[in-house]
Amino acid sequence: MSTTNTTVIAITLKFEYALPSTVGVPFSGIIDDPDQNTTTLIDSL
Amino acid sequence: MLHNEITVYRFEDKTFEVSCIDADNAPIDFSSGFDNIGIFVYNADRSTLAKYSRKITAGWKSIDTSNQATGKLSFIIDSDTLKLAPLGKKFIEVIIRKTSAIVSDSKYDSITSQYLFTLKQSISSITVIP
Repeated sequence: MSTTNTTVIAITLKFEYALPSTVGVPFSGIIDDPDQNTTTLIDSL
Repeated sequence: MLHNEITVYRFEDKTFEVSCIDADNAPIDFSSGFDNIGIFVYNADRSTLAKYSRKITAGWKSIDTSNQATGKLSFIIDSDTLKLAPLGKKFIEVIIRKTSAIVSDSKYDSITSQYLFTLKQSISSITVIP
């Protein structure tokens, strides 16, 4: 294996909903962009 | 929203740094209050290319948490993984679980996902440089 490329690919990932301060119910956020949810994104490839 | 294409070639080793922000665009402080973080890199057919955990666990690669207090998580996709991966778009999904989760079957508290990079083959990448 070659040495790790020193170039860092930086991305920003947004959690759409504010994180719950106290968790009483399992919490599922959604994708950062409503127009690009996982299903749509993959199916459109 | 269109993402700029990020190209990664087969046989490369790449380091990724993910900056996690909340709904208010504030960095998420992962240094306390979180039980675990999972990062999945997956193919267009939804098969998993690599998975990472903050906890050291068999079958999972590690996440560099050096800067987790500012919401930054780093991980490496190495050439051993990429040399056999199908070409095309790759996606990232991150799941996080808080320590305050009180529901026994809570696998995660929040999840988010997006395009990560496009894997391409190069003409020279299988050549050993003298």
